[in-house]
Formats: sequence, C-alpha cells, structure tokens
Amino acid sequence: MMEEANVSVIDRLVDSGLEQKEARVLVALAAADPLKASEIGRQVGITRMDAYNTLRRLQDRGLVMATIDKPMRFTALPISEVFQNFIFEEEAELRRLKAHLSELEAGVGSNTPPVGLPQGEPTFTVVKERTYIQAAMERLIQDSESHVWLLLGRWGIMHLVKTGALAAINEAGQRGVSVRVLATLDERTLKFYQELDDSIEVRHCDSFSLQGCIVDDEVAVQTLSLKSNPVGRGRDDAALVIEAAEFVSAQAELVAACWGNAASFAAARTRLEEGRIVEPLKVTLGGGSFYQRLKELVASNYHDQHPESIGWTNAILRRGDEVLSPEPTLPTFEALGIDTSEVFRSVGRRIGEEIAIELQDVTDDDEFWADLSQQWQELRMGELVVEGDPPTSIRVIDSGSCGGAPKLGGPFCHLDEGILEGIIQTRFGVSATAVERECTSTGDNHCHFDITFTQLDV
Amino acid sequence: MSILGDGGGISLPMGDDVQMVEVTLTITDAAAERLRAVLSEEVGDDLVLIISTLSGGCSGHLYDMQVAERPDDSGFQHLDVEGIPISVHNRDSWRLNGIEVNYLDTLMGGGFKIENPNADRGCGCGKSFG
Repeated sequence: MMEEANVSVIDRLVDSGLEQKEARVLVALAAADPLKASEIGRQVGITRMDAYNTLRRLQDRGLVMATIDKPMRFTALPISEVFQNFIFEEEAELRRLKAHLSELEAGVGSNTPPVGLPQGEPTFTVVKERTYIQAAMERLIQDSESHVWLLLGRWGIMHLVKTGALAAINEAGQRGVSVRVLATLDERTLKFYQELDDSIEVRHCDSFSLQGCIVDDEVAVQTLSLKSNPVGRGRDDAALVIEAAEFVSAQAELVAACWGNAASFAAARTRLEEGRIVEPLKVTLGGGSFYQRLKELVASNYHDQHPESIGWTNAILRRGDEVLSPEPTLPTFEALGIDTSEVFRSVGRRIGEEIAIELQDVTDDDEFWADLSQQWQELRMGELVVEGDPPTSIRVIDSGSCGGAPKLGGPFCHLDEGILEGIIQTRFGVSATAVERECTSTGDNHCHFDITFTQLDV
Repeated sequence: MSILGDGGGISLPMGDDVQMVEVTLTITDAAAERLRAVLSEEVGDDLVLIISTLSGGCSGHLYDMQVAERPDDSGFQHLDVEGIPISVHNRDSWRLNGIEVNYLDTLMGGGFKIENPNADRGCGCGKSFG
C-alpha cells in the first residue's frame, strides 16, 4: 500500500518537472530520518556520485537540506511543502513574464522592432513538451474566428482536460466558432467528452492517431511524436506548428474526408458502453458504370423480351383489390450490377461483430466458442462444430437460417459467411474470409464453412 | 330551323357486338410457374384465374387476371391450361382467343405480358392493345 502511494507521489513530482531520480530521492528522504548520500544511493538504486549530484541540484532549489554532521547527512522538505515551493516558483516566473510584456507594450526597451516575415510566407515551428504543445493549441483556439478541427487520437481529450486547454475550446464554441472533434473514443475517456460545450460535435474513428488542431484553415498543430503514457508530462512529445495555406488546406480536406466516414458520438458510446453497433451500415454495392449497364439492359430487354411492343407488362394479376404482380425481385438488383451477396455478407459481418462484442468478457477461447455455439442455437441457426483455434473450419448442423434458401450461395449463405467473418475479425483481430462449400440447400445434412485468414501471422 | 339545327344529326352510342368463340390459350413455363405459386399461396375454395380485358391504356385495353373462386355464371368458359384453372367470359372470348400468357422478370420487376394475335397495333405505353 505504502509502495503504491510512493509511486503516485513520484509520478506527481515528475509531472511537476523533476527528473525521476530526483523525485525518488525526495520521497526517500521525506519518509526517513536524515540519510547519508551512500544510504540514499542504495535506497534509490543509484551510485553514490549520482546521489551527490542529485542532492546538489535539489539543494539548489531549496528542496533538500544538509546537516553539519561528518559525514554529511541529508533531509528534505515535506512533500506538501515541495509542491508549495513549485507553485511559488511558477508564480514568480509568471509575474516576471507579465512584467516583461507590460514593459514591452509600454515601449520600454523596444527600440529594436522585430522584423516580421512577409505576409503569407509559409512558416513552421517545432514545439517540444506536451505542456507547451497544449499551450500553443490553446492560444490558437483562443484566436480562432470561424472553425476549428480538433484531432485528439485516443488520449488527446485527457491532455486537454489536464492542461486546462478545454476551457479555450468551450469558449470558442460558445462564441460561435464551429468546433469539430475527431477522435478514437475509449470507454476510459468517454466521461471527459461530457465536459465539452454542447455546441461542439464529436465523432469517432476506430483507428485515428492524428493529434493536433487546424484553425480557420490557416494554421495547424500536428503532433510528431507522442509518449504513450497519456497522463505523464510528455517531455519528449514534439509537434509542428505550421502556417502554410496550401498545406493546412490539404490537411483540412483530409480530415473532412475522415469526418464523413466517422461514427457519431452517440453511436460510438452505444458500442462502447452497451456493445451494440448502431451506426449506419455502409456497403459497397458493386463497381463499374451503372448507367452503361442500365442502358445495355434496357436495350437487351426490349429486343429479347418485347420484340413486338414497347413496355414490359400489360396484365395485372390481382386478388380482389390487392395487386399480386408486378413486384420487385432480387435478380433486378443483380441485373443492375448490385452485388447482393456483398450486401448480405456486410450485414452478417455487422451481426458477427456485435455477437463478439457481447462475448468479449469471455477470455477463454474454448468457453467463447461454447457460448457462441449456444447462442447460435438460440437464434435457430443450427449447431456449431468448430475446428481449430482460431477456427479454420466450421460446420453448422441443422442450419435453419439457410434451410429455405433456394441454392448454395444464396443470400442466407452469404449472411452466415459474414457473421463468421465478423466474429473472427472482432474476436481475434485478424481478417478472415469464410466460404461455404457444403450447404443443406443442396442436400447435405449440414453447412460447411472454410475459414481463410488473410493475415499470415495467425 | 329544326331542333336538330342546320341539317346536322346526332349519333347514339351503340353496344359492342358480342362475338362468342371457343377460347384456346397458352401459358409459358415461366407464367405457369408463377401462377401456380400464386394460386397455392391464396386461400379459398375452387380458385381460378379469370382473364378479361379492361378499358384503359393509350389504345384501349389492358388485361385483368383475377384470382377468384370459380364463377357459376353460365356466361363463362372454363379451361385447364398447364394445370391452371382459367375462366374467360364469353364477351371477352373473341379478344382473348389465341393469347399467350407470359411472365417476364425484368429490370422493373416481375410482370405478366400477354401476347395477343388479335391486337392490330401496339401502344406507346405498351400497356394496351387496340
């Protein structure tokens, strides 16, 4: 327990600007009677010389005191006073900066005017350390006039909350600036998005690693390297601040394209919190020129089926007032070049994803397949017999879902293939193709699906 | 001046001549398959397909194919074509004699198409005959 508390204090000290070993030395001293440098070195796991150097730097900042004993021993301020010291230092620094600014604005010592760049000249600046990157973004957003793209990757929202830059973003939204946030939502960060102003729209992309912002299509902040620890100080983080109209405009177009394909915040939250996938299903219907295909089909229909007259039907089939014919049929879609198998397969994949999400808490694969098999039966889709882990062959006995299908490769066969692909993709994180090679609709007593992985490292 | 004006006349509507013939017709395989499916799905006793002509279309007539219980009206002729019970009223017999009932699966969906050797012209919309 004590160990965990110390770790937490060390993190806070590091986050406040100390090096890791400085923080560890301070914590060691705060928890004990005065220690010799050699003792401190042993406790912290550094050499005696390293301990001396570290202690000297801490003494310079007034955080560590030496006794007048021989050999010299060291003691430290209580941790709460260490933080108080940091605050005094920062406040002093802030006062100094404000004084400089006031004097400059008053004309004191400003007899050498800065030479500005020609208007519109592309520029870039490298900004290091997360605090300064966030400060740069905050300043740009404060000055925004019409629209802001905020790119947050998976953890960016935490940086905004932690540094206080969120207030500038909300303020921009409240004064009418269009603020749009593109991020990879995570169930651990969802709560932070609630702190955004209602005027700000948030969308989710599954794998969106861009971090930064684009302001008024004039200036962009683009993170170059980002430390993986989302709550650390991010000292090694680096970003480019770019003012180059053509580049920034191209970046904005790219982001807008991602935005168009992104899921709404509500849909993403439903997926993360409830395991249900509710965003619109986007399906590829086929390629080529639909117009050309339509023209060819119309010509073919006219010549082949209506040699004597224009038109396709001249009789109404009815029962009482109910018209029984004509009615649309699947071959109509196929004739237009719409791949109905892909439609059913896509719907199946979506169902499979949801099934896998529902069973994501089942960590044991055998248990997972057993649960899935039971669910498959409850859906009246037959009994699953799985071979391989991940599976390379799946048989479905007494499949009810395609029992009425007219032929192997019918719509429900593709639906089943899609379901299996969706399950495997979501569960194992690999792309797979399921192909049915035996089907109850052709007289077999089961359906048999072969699974082919498109990633060879499985 | 007479009430008829300056020598003009009036004309009165005349009833169509009803010419009764013994009907024969054919049904293509596609149409037979479709009709059998429809008849098997409908609920009722002694269902038949009553084929008749309708007013409408740019040139006069469309065809009506109604699934109904066998009419007991003596004015009907009853046929069995490809196992499908069909009834045709005598007043339509001359127009429907010799027709071929086809079923087309086209871009706009499935639909019945009747080829009629008695039709002397097609129409612009393709939905009637003269």
